[in-house]
Amino acid sequence: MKLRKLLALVLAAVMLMGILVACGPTENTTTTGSNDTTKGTEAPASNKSYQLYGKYEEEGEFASMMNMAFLLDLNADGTAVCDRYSFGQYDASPADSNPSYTQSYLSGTWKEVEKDGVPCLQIKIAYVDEAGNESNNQTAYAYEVAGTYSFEMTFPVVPGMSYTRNVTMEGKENKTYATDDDFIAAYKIEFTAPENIGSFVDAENNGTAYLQADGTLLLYAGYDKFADGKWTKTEDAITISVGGEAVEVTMEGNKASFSYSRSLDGSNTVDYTFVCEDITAIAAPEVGEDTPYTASVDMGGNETTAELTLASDGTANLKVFTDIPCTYTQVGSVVILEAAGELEGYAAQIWPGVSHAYILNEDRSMVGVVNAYEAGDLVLILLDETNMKVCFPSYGMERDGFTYTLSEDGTALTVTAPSEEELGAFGQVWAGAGAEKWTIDGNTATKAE
Amino acid sequence: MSKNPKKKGTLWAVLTAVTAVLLIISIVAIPITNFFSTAINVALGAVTQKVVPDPDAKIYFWSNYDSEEDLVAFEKQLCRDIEGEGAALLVNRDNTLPLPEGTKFTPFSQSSFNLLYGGTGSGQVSADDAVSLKSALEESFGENTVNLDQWKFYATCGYARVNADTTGGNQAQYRINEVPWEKYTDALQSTWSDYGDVALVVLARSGGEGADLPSGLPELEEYMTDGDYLRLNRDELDMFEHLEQLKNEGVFKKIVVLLNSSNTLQLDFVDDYGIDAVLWIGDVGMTGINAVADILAGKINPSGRIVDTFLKDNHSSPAMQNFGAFPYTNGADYNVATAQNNTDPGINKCNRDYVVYAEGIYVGYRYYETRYEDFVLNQGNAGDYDYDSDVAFPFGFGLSYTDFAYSNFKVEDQGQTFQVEVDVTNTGAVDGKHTVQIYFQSPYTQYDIDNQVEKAAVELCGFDKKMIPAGETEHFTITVNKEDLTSYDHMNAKTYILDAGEYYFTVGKNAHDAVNNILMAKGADASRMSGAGDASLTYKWTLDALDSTTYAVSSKTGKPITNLFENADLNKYEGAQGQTVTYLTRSDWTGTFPQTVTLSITDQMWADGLTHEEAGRVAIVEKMKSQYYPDATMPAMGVSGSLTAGQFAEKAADDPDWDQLIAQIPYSEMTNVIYNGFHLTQPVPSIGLPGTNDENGPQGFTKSLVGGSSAMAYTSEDVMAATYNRELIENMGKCIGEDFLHATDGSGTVFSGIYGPGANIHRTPYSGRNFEYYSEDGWLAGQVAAVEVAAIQDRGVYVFTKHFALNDQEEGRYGISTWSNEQAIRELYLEGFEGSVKNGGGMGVMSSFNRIGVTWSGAHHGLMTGILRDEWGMTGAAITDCSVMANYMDYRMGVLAGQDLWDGYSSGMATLDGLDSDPAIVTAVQNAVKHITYSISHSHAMNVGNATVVLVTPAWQMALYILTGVLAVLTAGCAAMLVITRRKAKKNQ
Repeated sequence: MKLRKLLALVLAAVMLMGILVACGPTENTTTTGSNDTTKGTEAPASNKSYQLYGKYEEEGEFASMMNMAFLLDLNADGTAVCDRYSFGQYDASPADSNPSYTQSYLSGTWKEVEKDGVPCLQIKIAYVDEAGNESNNQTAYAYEVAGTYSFEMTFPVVPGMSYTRNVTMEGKENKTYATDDDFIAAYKIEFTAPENIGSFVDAENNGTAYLQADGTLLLYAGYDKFADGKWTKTEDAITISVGGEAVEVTMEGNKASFSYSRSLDGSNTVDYTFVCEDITAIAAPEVGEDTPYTASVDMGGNETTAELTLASDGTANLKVFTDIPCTYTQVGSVVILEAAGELEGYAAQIWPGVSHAYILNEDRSMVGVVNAYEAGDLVLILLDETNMKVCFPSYGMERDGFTYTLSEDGTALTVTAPSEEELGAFGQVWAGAGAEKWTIDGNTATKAE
Repeated sequence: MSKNPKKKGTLWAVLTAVTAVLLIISIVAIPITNFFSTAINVALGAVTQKVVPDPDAKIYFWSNYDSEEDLVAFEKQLCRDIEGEGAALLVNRDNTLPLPEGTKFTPFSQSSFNLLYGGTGSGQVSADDAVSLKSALEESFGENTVNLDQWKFYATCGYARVNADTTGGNQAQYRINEVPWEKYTDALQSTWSDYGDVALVVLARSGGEGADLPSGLPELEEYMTDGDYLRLNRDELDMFEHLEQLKNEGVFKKIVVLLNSSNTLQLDFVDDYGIDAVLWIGDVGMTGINAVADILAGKINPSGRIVDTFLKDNHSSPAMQNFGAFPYTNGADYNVATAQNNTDPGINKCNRDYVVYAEGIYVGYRYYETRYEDFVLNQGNAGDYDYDSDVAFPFGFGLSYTDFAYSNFKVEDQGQTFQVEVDVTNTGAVDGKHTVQIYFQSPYTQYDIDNQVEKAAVELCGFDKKMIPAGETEHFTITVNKEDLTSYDHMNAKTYILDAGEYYFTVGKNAHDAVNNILMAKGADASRMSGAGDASLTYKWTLDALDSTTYAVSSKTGKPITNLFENADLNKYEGAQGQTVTYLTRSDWTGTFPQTVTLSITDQMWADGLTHEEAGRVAIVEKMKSQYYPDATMPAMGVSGSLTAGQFAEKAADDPDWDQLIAQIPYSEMTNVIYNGFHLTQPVPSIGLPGTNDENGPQGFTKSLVGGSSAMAYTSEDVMAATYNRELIENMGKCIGEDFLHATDGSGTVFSGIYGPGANIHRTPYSGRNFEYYSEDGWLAGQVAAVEVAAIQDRGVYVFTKHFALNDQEEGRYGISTWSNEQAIRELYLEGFEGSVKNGGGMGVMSSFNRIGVTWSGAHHGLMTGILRDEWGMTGAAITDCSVMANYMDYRMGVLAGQDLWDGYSSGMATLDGLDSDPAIVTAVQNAVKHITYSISHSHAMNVGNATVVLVTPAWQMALYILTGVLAVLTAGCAAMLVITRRKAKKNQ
């Protein structure tokens, strides 16, 4: 019996120690020079109470951790208590046991004052840790319009640091939410997976790669999207790129998997292995009008992906690391881009490896070329510094194998056609509409006299 | 209690399992929490040391104030005085100002209710107790002078300026959020005529750490004109259009504008909209707005002079052509990354971006006034330069309620100095303070053209400020150091030179005035000039032969001065491999005006500093060891001895006894103090050196970054500089020091170091931290910094003047490669720091996030040792900017270069571990610790005397140890009971 009592005592001590762990001594920095200079005129004490609330949301890799709602009770006894509900965790269980619900995240006092002649609520709140240390102190003033009070509340994301965000709080006298659970009910959200026609899953790391019908790939960690990419599929293979870089897909029968390393802070990473048990069950992505054209471009030896979006008003956006606003003209299947806005004239300088002319393919891929010219019924496409392709759009005919030289001033084009044998039937087209010498004006080529 | 032995056995089995699991958890937690112990200690404010003071301690630094109330009262008045002398009157049509008592104001703009008191980020100060505009106006003009309905409207309208978040923020977050005109109801408008003397418009733009101001973000075009935060947006223009109409209708008599920003707005509107007066007030601090109201009321005669060139076109400067973070075009080849904050992915690499200072020395007025002179003199291919279309108000401009006239301008060559004298007469009817600004012009010679030495048309080289009663004349005598006339010749002499030729001195009311005086002295064609000059206010001094020796040695240390930044100049750095930059030259303005520069990473750039691979860093460390410590021998370390830091409180830095003191410290104590300096210094028990707290400035003592409060908040630094009043700056420096002297944390640890002041320059108006820097002019920054730093240190607080160096923007700040030529580096970007260290005796600096060329600033030996120690003679510690998780701020490279202390934790970065037998590393580590010890031992932390410092296991750590011990006992006990119970059960069976 004595032993049992002793053990009970020890257990109690352990519990007590548990409470003490992580507690530091109270720190109250003594500073000077911050006495009130605009103290509000204090209103007589009242038995009023108010409740204000607000929601903070942001997009990004860590949205589920950042998105929060706050419930601030300004109690009749002059205390102010602000609860935090991290609704981005998708947990709507009762507040008492909900790990996403933090009671008294911020606390302090409040009173009715008149500041600079305007009646308002002065709210002094801070983060107070278990040892009673205060940080992130703030004095805020809530002003009333038509019975509703509001103010901007700064809340610490990491208590004790300036990692803060602002949330607009508003509310009225008395309680809008009678209980914390009512508040949770009002702010809870349900996770809706992005539209998809299939997915790859990493159950261990709670990661999902959603395949969307338009060829977009979305990588999620839990509820947060942290990367996106592209996917395409042929009958028995699937190709995937993330952030413009191709990733290797491993196939084992119908099972496909790929790895992706997510960098959290440059030194810490999470290594995902996304698996799809049967890719035959997934349809190939549709190609829509809004799907950007993509091409692999060489940035000084490094392959990256350029994305081109064309608008019907003649503007375009070329994305290579950053967005380059452009205008475009179309010559046959080739679009010719002109940098616009502040980048006018500089696009080629900024990204020297990136072409300003592209052949557009039906599968929304594109191929960079040097230039293209309307040449009567033909389109002359300069593929590189030597080779050229000739297209006859009316009949959907085209032939490679041409070579060319362009004069230094860019106004005279000399074309050498391949042998008749190589030209084949296209030889008749070239004989009728082609020529060796052309005069260039803009993107128009005229047979030289 | 159950008597059933089986049940009992189950109970003990469960208890054994539970306690065993808890025991394992707590055992695992010990090393993990130890790894992060510094961070946890800072977060919890845990006590880590016990200082047993010496009962006979000499108190080195006493407070000058009998009570804190006295100090606070003095500080409030001081902040007010600084604003009162720093605010600059730019426009005052028909003597609109001052306004009579009883004037009725209707405030306009949401910022009138929501004034800008300071910037954001680590330097953020609390505005909780700051004075409002309404309160200030009522104090100066009487009760009921402000339209209360309008005030209430702004209080509740829901429109407020938005700053970028301090952590994780970006440019796209800035918003002006002015109230759309249609929100002003008829009922509200009906109140305006009763308060119609003045429509008082406040235009505020906030800046802050981590995000430059948007200068043309397409995604912000919806909110700002051309996505430019410093232009008036549609709602502001609407407001002015309506105000002009209301003025024409007689609702308002006057329109007065307050420019409440340290980032100069594009002032292309001040001649329009019937604006009567414009007063630049910067960020006003806690009580500064009182002085603004006093200026409006004429209780203070404005005497501030602007410290930047205020422009009609903010994009017209050559610096703006290469402002921002530009990614190396082939960065993907090297798997580069960047981080804007230390919470971002990529923080350990930070090697993606670069910026090229292609404008060379032509920043601010050095560009506008020089190109102007060349246009007037029809030289240098200046083109059809139109000064008036670019410049709204020149550097040094500021009006007064009175006028001042100059006479008897004289200059006397006194060897190493010039004595400049001038009489200033107050020709108006009211008393006023006046700043005499002395400028010089150095000849731009064929030698300069041949050797790429650039010369500004004028440079500020002296100033003084005095009160001059109406009708009276004051005599000013100003000393100009000949050293300040030198230029840095990085091509031929590779040191400072004094050119042969004709030098001009002049007194000007601003930089443009000064150029015009010189132009008149040169007989320039007045028809090409903008404004008039007075040749009688110039003095010509001729130097017969070029002097390239006198200034080739440091006046402070006697050590030779030569090129140290060739690796920052693309035209000299061989690793650039043919990638060059065309610097702007006044010999060909039009032909060399900067274009955006495109750069790629070369393998040598990678190997020299951009690498983020450990092998690459090791190679750099080895190279540095052989270069800077070629003959290192293993120094004594951890030697038994009785010396204490307290005995060194009055020892000079070059006293040989320091070696003995430092030799007492074991390696682990040294690395601990170097590694873990996040807002504190670690105690060093082996020499009785107490740990201290360090905190942020520069507007005053502030703990905002670590979630704490701030003490007195002074104005932004530009307002301080704009006072041109050394006495005010000195008083402020002392008061900031007093605030530190008065502050202690819960454990009694003192606050003895300040992260400030800031001494970078305003390269463009868009830098997020311009509020923390004095001016576009490095020389002026150095003058002010010298006074402020000396005053702070007078109160026993060591400074870390920041951010050393070339950290003149926030975009890409972590690790951005900054490319410039050595003339610009020395003549512009280092001058503020030079003033702090060389003239102010500043014991320390804070190195910057960025790279100089490809080398992180803290690892740039030329910067951290060549400049700081060898040329300027700095004696104390250099801390890094926040190094948390930033592996590229490598400890090994840093200490070898002359970096001493890291503003972070060693977690994941402890690269000095295991190098305790490396002579070069140990020597460098000892140097670093000596510098740290010097700073602390010469601060008020030494008021404890020869104290005994005992390391204390923090309460949380002790609790964890106890918990582990208890759980061990408990587990053993439960296990024993389990065995006993089972045996009993067996026996019973």
